[in-house]
Amino acid sequence: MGRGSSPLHRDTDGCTLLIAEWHNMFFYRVYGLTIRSDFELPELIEGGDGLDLWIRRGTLTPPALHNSRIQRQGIEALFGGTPEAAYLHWEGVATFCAEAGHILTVDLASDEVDPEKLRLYILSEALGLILHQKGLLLLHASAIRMGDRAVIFAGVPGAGKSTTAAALAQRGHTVLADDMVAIGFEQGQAVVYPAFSQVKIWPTSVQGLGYEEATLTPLFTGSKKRILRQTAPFPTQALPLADIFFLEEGEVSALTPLGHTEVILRFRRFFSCPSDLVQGAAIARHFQQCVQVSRSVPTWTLHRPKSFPALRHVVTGLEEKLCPCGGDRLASTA
Amino acid sequence: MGNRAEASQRAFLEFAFPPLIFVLSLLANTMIMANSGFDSHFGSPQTVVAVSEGQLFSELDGEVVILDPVAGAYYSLDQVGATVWNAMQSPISVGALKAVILDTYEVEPETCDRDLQELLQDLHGKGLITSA
Repeated sequence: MGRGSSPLHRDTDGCTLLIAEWHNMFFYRVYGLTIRSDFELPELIEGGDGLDLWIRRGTLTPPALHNSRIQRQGIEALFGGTPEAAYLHWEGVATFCAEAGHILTVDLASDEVDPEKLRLYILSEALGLILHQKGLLLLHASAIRMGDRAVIFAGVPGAGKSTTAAALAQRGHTVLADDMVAIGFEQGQAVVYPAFSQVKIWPTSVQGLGYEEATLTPLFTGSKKRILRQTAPFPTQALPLADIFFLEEGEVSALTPLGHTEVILRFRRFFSCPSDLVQGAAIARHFQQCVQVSRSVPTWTLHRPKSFPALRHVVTGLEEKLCPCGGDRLASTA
Repeated sequence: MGNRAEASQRAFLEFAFPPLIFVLSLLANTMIMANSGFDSHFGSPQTVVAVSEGQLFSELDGEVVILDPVAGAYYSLDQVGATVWNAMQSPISVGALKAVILDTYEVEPETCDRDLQELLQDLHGKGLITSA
């Protein structure tokens, strides 16, 4: 069912309303899903039938909420509800309700909420609730296409996920996700679903990587973070997962394989939604998925000094490891 | 939720076999300490032990990773621990367990007795096995 294709055109108020609603819908693809949205989300690729998910504006009456330990811009999200109807509340921004992986209701704190800021909140943990409900394995990380496969960089805030992604983007590799990575399994193979083209970097990284700060858009009005967008065509299909790197600071650059237990614990630690979602029955699924990833995907600790020359060294090493043919994807970034 | 918290939730156990490491998750706020002392009934070869119901585990390259879904705690057993764990999938006497280890690994019977008893006490203390 596409835009304006509703066969209903009778003279009843309900149907007139339905058609009016369709006209204000936006259709996108993200994380392998086709979505229709009441909100314009220009970060995303347009198209698709919108049947997988509906992001709608509505009014919510949340149940009891508690602290989630998830923070953005100094605000801690509150979380509550059930696995099938999960609520996330960001004070002063919006309350979200993710239902059964199909509907994400957005209840704005006020009409004054900056749409750019709102989009950050829609396209992060709120969308994560939906992806989790759909059975995907989430990781707070960045994902980059290198050659025909995807690699993942995870780590604590400040470990250099986005900076590494930006450095690889500069070399023409497509950044598939910055912040939240969704892993699925296709024919037993771990795959990464592309999110959208956007890397958020701090001014030090902007300078260290040699970008002109003035040419990059701020994340939202007043934000110090800058957005890097790539112009090359963005993939919509899942890509096989080649390697996972957990970034840590070190005296020298070193790659160390991680044991299975360490991999599973790190996936638990860097789960990118409220930890309540990996309790009860869901913890068993999370465990099995982590085991499957650990069995099939080489996973490493990548120690490296915090300097831009060291980063360039790491980037060269990754290119030699993952796309020895090199050079063919050196598209421009904007 | 930093490295320090993770590190503090690890208990390194003295074991004559390759070190056996229990790794507890971030959620392991219900960590139960194992009973100390050697006077428990795990010293008796007639005691029958078996893994508790409801534990999830997976064997990966010789190591066994166990998840206690209720406590939200993860545990890791090395190869020797994995041998013991696999042998306890159905009820088995401590005497038979000891025989399995002596058959598989080169270890003095006395050392085996002591270490097996410690391991069983620890697993029991964490609710991972039952005994009768």
